Amino acid sequence: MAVLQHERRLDYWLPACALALVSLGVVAIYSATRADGGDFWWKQILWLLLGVGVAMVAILIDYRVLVRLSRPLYLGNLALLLAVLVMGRSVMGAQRWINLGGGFRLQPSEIAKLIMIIALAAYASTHRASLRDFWGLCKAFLYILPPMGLILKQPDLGTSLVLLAIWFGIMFVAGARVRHLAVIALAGLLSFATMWHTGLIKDYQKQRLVSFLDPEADPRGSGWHTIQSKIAIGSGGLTGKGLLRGTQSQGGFIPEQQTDFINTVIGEELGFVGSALLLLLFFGLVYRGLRIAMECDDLAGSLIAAGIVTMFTFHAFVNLGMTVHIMPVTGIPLPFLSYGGSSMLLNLTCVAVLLNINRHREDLRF
Amino acid sequence: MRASRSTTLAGARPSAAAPRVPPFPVLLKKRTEWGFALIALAFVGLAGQLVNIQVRHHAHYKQQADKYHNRRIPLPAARGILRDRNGNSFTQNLPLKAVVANPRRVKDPVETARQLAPLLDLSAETLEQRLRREGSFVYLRRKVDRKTEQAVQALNLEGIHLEPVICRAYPHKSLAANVIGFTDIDGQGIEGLERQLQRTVAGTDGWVWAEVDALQRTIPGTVKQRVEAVDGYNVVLTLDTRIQHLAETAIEKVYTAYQAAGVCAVVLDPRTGEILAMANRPTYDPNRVADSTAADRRNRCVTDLYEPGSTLKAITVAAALQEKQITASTTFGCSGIYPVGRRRIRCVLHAPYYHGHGAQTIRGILRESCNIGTAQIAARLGARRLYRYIADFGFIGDTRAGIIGEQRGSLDPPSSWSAIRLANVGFGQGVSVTPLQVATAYAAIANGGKLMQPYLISRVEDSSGKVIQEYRPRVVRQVISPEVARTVTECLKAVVEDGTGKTAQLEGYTLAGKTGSAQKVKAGRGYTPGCFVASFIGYAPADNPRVVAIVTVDEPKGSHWGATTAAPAFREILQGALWCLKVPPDRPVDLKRTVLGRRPVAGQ
Repeated sequence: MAVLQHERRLDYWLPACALALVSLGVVAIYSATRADGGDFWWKQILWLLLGVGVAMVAILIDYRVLVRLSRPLYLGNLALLLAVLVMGRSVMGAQRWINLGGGFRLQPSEIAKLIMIIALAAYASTHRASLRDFWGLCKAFLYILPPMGLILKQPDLGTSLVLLAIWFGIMFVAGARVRHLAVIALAGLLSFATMWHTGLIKDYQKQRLVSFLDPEADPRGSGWHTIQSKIAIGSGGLTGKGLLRGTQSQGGFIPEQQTDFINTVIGEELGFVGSALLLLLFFGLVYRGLRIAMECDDLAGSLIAAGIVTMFTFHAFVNLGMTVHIMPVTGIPLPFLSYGGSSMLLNLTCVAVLLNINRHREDLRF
Repeated sequence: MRASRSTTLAGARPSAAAPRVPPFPVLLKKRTEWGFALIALAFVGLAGQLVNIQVRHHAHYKQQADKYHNRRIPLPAARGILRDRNGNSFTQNLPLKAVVANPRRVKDPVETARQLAPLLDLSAETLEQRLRREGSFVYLRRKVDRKTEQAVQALNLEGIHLEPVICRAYPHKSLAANVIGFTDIDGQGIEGLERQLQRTVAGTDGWVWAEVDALQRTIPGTVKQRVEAVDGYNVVLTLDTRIQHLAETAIEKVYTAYQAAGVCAVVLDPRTGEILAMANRPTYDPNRVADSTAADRRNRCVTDLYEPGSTLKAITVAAALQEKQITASTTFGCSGIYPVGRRRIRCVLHAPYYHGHGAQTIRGILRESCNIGTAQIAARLGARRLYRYIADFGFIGDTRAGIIGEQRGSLDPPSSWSAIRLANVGFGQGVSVTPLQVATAYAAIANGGKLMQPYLISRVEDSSGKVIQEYRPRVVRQVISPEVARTVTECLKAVVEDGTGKTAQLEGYTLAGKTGSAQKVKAGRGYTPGCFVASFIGYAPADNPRVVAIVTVDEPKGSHWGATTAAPAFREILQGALWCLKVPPDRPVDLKRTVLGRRPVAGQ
């Protein structure tokens, strides 16, 4: 164990991986939106700078303070999510944003992820013993239902699934019994099946699942994204077609390419080499996050780290999986790479929180 | 606060509080390691799938990508222009756009159809149906004007794009339409010269193999292969639009005045065989073919066989002269009725010849169009020789002018002819010919007995004007001697001077001509009562002919005489054509009324 480590140095690997991913993302966004004359890449850099600023501040705030404030944060988060439903702006049929004025928009469901991580970690660290009990675990599950419900109402199935994944991740690391978790997962699947038949799952969501199984059934409708992104990535080959030279990416064959389908640019233009580098960077990030979770002597800190790692992994796996057709199409962005301000701020803040946890671990020695 | 307690070391808590919980660091480490293993598995899965599609099945996806973004963009070749002898264009190429769709790329056929329907003047249902077709290419509208083109472009619909097309147009509308023909929407010649010259004028379409974006626009710098279009050859015709126009105006009047089933006119240059005009009524507008019937589009000058009637008498006379069976001074008697075998033939008699034409030479026979006299000449000549001359003048088979749809003149072999049949053939009954054949035969008489091959195509040029192929006048044969030709011409001059053809007299030019009027053959046997083909054929100036023309009127109502129906139109055509060709007049203009009758101007 790292008991004897006394140096108070930052984990440089973590921010290095994150920044490398952001850089790769900016290049990909430039390539994806160049044809339309968009300034997305430039905005993304602005978001990056803003995010780094926010992260600098976040790194100075002791995560233990956040843990202490978990209850007001949780309540405040619920209020924000409610506000979105009441006064939010509708984009592409979903209400996800609150207008802050001056062209800035806040996406509270992004912040909700970090707040839920902190809140769940705080809860789990104080109710550790009860989590070994099935009903105690169920009580912990009730904790995420209100925010999940509000996010589902937007509707944003992707983010509510992320919350679910975070819950499983934190509970798993906190020591919940695997068979209890399995029972809850099964119950979730059953309720999903019920929702499917009672019409609570929207038709377009059903279609995505159906087209995941057989995209060729409707190649220019629901199967379009799956087919086109596979074609783009597959045609990239080992070394790719070269930056800015991807025929599918430059030809605008993949809608939403700068956001959810940013990986197709990398896959096509940089090939397997680029994709593998992307995976490696994510893996490095996740690995350092888990190290931090493991090395932290504070249960709440460990669980926050575990939650963040779960979130990154889930995002990355679902997003990348969707582009290579091992996951259905869900609107989940690729952390650090997909274009989007709220997401960028949150992810960099998460990195800052991880670094903060890492920084404070030796303080406890004294 | 509960939260503040979390800052204490969990592992340091009394284990008695939760006896079944393993110590925190041990369980956390175990769970984190398990978690790490799970994450690693997920990443290995992703990497595996990447290898699968990017390396293992790369070729498949590459091919798929090529299918989606590489496209063969046509570069349409310009179709050759058909011009008249003076450079006037009969045809025109309009670079337009076609609106086409790639149904695979159309995401929302209903919405796309709704937006396009008003622009393309099609119903939304029709469009939607086309947008749902299988495959990657479907025409929505083959020709759109500039305004529509821009409107479609502005919509910027996915899967909808514009493709260059070259549309054939006919600026002179119906002028020479029955000769020129037209193309279909794909640029395939369907009728007339457009069809006949398809391979010459079509050219070869080129194409660009390039990458296109989702809107099917070429991405600059991605052209992999470019094959330039080779434009079709331009064709210069022997037609003269001025004479063509004259002829059409003239026959139009006859067509309406006599409510004829059809009228046609051919104008030839007897020295070369060049066809200067070929006019037809009824006609059609090749820009609006759908509004016409097949009968409107026929080039009757070559497709309609008719019995030449009296116009063939000159051929019989010429043959007999050439064979020295008769001379210019041989006389034949006519009493109005003449027995041949068990049948009798008659002459159409009017004042002052109610008791027959009397004794007359060939001059009188042709002037009065005497059947009985011609029958006697035919009898002297004999079936075999008459048949040979008819063949030599080009009435058997086609003229080899190479005009599409040309019918072959026909005549049964002389061995089967009876005496009455020989007489009938002699004055043009029981022989089927086309107006062009009659014009060609008369052109031979006009040309000193030399039969010229009639032709319509003067030369073929490439787009830079270089001559690819040139057609020159071709002598088919010397049918009769120049002397015989001159004798026949003298007789034909008399026809116009004071015979049946007086109505055709020209101002300022001597004319040689012949009327014709024959009953129409019924399908099968016999003649259709009351149905005639009236015609007039002639050439001027009679002693140095520059123009030969024929006008045939099919089923005129009110009169069936060539002199009344066809001759005035003929006169109009010839008078104008001579003027167009700058032929100097060879006869004073009505001496009595003009030069001789001129009174001194007051004060002189």
